[in-house]
Amino acid sequence: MWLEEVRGRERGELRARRFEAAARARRAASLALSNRKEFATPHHGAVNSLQVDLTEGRYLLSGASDGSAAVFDVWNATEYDETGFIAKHRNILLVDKQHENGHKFAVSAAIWYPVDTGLFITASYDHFVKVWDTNSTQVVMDFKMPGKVYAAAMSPVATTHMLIATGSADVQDHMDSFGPSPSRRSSSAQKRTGNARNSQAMRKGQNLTHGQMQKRLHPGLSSSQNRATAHYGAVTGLRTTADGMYLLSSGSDSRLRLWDIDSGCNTLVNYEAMRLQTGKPLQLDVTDDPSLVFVPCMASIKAYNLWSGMTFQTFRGHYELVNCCYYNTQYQELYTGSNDRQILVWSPSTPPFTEMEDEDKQHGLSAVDEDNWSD
Amino acid sequence: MSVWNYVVTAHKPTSVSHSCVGNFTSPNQLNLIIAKCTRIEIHLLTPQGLQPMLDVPIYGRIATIELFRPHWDADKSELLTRAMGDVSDRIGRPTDNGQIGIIDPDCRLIGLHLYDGLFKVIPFDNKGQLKEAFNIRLEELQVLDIKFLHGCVKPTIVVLYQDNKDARHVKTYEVALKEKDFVEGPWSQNNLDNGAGLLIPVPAPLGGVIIIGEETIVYCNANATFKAIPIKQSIIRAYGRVDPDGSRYLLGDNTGTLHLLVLTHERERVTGLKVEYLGETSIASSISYLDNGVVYVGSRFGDSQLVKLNLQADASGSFVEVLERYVNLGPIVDFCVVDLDRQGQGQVVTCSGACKDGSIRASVELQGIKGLWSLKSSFNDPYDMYLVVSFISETRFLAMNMEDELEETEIEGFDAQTQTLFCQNAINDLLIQVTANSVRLVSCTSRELVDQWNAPAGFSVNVASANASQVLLATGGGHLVYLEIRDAKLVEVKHAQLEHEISCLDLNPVGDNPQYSSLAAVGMWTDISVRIFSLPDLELVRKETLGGEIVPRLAIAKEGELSIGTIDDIQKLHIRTIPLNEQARRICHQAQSRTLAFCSFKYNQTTYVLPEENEPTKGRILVFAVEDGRLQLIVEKETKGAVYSLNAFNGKLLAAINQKIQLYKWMLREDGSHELQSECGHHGHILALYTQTRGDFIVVGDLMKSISLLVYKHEESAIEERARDYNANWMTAVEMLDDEIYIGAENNYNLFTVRKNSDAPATDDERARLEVVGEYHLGEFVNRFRHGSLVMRLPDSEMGQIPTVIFGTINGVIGIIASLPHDQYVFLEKLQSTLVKFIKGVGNLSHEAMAVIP
Repeated sequence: MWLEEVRGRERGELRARRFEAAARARRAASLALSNRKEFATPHHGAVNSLQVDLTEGRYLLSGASDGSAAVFDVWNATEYDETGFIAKHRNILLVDKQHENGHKFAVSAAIWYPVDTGLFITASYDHFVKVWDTNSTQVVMDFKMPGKVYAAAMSPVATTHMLIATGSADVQDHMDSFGPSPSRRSSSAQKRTGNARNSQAMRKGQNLTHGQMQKRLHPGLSSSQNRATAHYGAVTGLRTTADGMYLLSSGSDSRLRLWDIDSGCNTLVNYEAMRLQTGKPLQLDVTDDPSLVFVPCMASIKAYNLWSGMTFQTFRGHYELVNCCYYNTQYQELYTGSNDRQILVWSPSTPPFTEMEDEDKQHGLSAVDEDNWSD
Repeated sequence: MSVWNYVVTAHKPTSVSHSCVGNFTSPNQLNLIIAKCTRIEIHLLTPQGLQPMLDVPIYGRIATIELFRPHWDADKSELLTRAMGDVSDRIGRPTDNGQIGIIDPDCRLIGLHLYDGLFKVIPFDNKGQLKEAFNIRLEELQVLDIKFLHGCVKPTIVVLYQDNKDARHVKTYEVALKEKDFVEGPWSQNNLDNGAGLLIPVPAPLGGVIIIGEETIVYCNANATFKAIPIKQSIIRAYGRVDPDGSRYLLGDNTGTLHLLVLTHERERVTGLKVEYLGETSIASSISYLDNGVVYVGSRFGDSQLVKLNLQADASGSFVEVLERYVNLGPIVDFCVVDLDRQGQGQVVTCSGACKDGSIRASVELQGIKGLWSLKSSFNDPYDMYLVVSFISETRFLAMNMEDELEETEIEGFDAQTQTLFCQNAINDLLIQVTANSVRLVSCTSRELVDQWNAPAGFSVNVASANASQVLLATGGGHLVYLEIRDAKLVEVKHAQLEHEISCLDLNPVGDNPQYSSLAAVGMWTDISVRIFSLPDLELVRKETLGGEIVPRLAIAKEGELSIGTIDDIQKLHIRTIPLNEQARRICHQAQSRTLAFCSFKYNQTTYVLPEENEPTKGRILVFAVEDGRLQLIVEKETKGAVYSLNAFNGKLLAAINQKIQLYKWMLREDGSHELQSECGHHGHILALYTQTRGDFIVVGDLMKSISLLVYKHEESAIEERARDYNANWMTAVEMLDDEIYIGAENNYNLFTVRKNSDAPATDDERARLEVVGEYHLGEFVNRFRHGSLVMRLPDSEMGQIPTVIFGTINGVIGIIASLPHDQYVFLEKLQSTLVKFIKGVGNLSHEAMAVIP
């Protein structure tokens, strides 16, 4: 089937862009629990946050409830299993409670410095936001917040500031900047009552048409009585689309809503019924076309068609509540983190490895038969 | 090894993507403007046909081209850029279906659809200047076409779009310039043909729009007129308006069939639609009606054509008569370089064209032409038969064949291994060839050597001239030798030595006898004089000093220009076409048997349906032997997936099958039959599309995971990954320039080179990484790289040591990448930056901006 498209592209009948878009969409539509790749997580608590760096797309950063943060290399496995087919990726970095400057309580968010992988930021229930030097694994800066920090984000396209936006359990919201002259600025958002002010982890290439988040007016003009309401309950998750034109929000009212950023209006896409956990922030993600939105729904992850709201697929694999998901657009893989302390990989379907092994087995070249004794 | 690579185009793009007709160069001149992706050609329509006026490159890829209110600087005969600007945005997702650019018929604004969900407007002010652009949100996310309606008070667009359920509809919007927004338009039409893909706006007073689908054609307008007719299933991609009032249109579909669409109307009301079959042309990408039934059909898949529409059908029922064909090499799906004469000059044989316009084309580069003569096959023949083309160290002969095409041939009596200085028909049906060492007389009929005069040792002929019976030669040292042809023999009659070097000669008979001249003209260096000598005694009759800086040159050959039949003046390649009427896909050459093998398949013209499974689960490898000029199938091997690429590898066969690279041994069984036995494989690719091998190394170009380097380990009988490029490049072709440097072409029209870090000190990580060492935005989609050279290599020249790789693209471009030594690269780079300062690209587009990868 790829064959027809490859031929069409060769002839010039199928545009290169369309070919690429079709290939990405087809792979995204065939996601399943990977039988080739797994992450060996060192966390002893629920995985709360996942992000792959924006510069190379190579390193996965995870934050967990045991106060730890870990980095994994997404491209290269640290080892292979006995059959040689399943790639195991162990963490190449870990900072936890043992670390002299580590967080004392759960890490709610771990994000990369958007410019390079030399720094990453962790936000925790211990009221601290820490900036880490990746290579030396040392804290280079930290900020004390008045309350538990639930979320943190940095703009991937900013050129004039280095601000970290954080959402914490406090009346005020904070923007912290680091650099030559750290300064504090606050906006008056109240995370708990459902006014969406912060945009978490915007993707590269976006440009919000209305500039700073705090100037933006309340989305949710659907209700004329309460112009400030996006959800009946807390807003538990936010995600913008890669083109910078839409914002998705999930709420403790178990609703998912799609907002037009330019007008601030609810697009009124009706997403099929779902059950969303209410106690914690959720990390949603969306494909880059954008066509599918991935939402952690209790112990599974559901993928909905962004425009029609129909359920596309349900991903079952975690044993407990799922908190976060991250879609790697480069290779169309979905990473999900759950209370079961696991990070699962969902990748485009490949034929089961037994089939491919067959031919080699026939000629006695199967790795399983070889002795593994070391010298 | 050199990482300095120089990219050059040997053959410009030939695929035509757009064309338009209008009075561009002057109000009285009708022009045809052709867009060939990275070039614009402007032609003038004259009673004798199309006359080329201008051919300019653009530093970019042309997405749309529309004619409106031109400005032509008649004095300078140049294209003047009136306005240019960057219309890209930071938000928004670039459209998959291509960029749409349209102009309001009343020239009030330009509309662009570049990003999903956004329509960009650039208004004109009343002086014709462009004002600031702004975006309007477009609800429709999957737009197929947008056009401006004619005859509307406010600028109005009609949008053809697809909704979430894949149904197609048409909607109109008025552009409110002051409010910078849309206002709902006068009408809309829902649930059209599922294959509706093209909108044709009809001029006033009829107005409205024609919607072209795959099974129906519909007309609708604001007055609620709705007319529809069914058509035979086809995908129509190109149209050309015939009449200014819009009553007739030419439609070209994806099989090359040309139809005429007629809008029957009474005064200002459309009463119906009619479609009539006209004939067959190349698969059209653009159609431009010129005048008097003459139509230009631009094609991306086959030769573009100039056709005439006749009032009467011919014997086969066709109204179409092809007046001229314009050779198009694109799309070059595959090619191989064949060095037929083992002279270091390659002939590029391409699988060109697509679908029914598929063909095999062979091209020879004719650069460095030193001399050109035409010869007749007998003295009294009114027409010439041969073309003698002389290069620096060889001479080639072309002869007219039965199809009125020039074909390479041999004239046995002539010396083909050296440069020819002069060539001429002589009396008694003889041919004269003068080379540096000799003068030969060859019989016209037998083409064999009849007599030969050799230059004395130590002297070589520099200049020569001849007529039907006399030959005059000049060698170094001012020696002049005069020969006559008597009874089919060359007789040396007189020899003189002049005091200066001789620059040129002429023996043209000016008296009564057309075959014998009594005078010869000789031009001299140093005293810059022209002397007249009498023949046969070589007595000086008269001497004229020219003075000043004039150097007498009586005959000048222009480099590289060759106009023969179907080749246009600007090309330097002689192209021979073998039409197949099928799609040629892959080609290769076997030197031992001197055979060219290619595979083609018939393109099935049914609707393009997407089957449900992800990848083909089965494929085949077929092994043929060449025996007595025929192909014999020896082995057929089934594979677990589609075979994308095959390479010979150390006596074995390497196949790229879906995600896996598989190595097969060629085994001889006891019963004497052969089989392919799988030895080992490697997976870890998303889709292994392109492979190249060198020694024990294999380079794989993946669907989206760039280039990886694999190595075959003999002892373990295994293939292992050595290194890879970690960038996400969607590959379209790869090649190994040498042991360490590999080149790739990717989806965004860029070329890049990577290097193997064999001696990287530090970590395994660095050794396992292919380092990107060069990047270049070519602007062309490359399908294939091959080692080889187009020009002749002189063994002792510097150029002979420079390795080159040839590439072929979808637009018919043949280009060369030469790996240069550093100092030559630096020189050429300086030359490039100086040239860029002087040669302004059309549209004020920057050369640097294009040379950097986006």
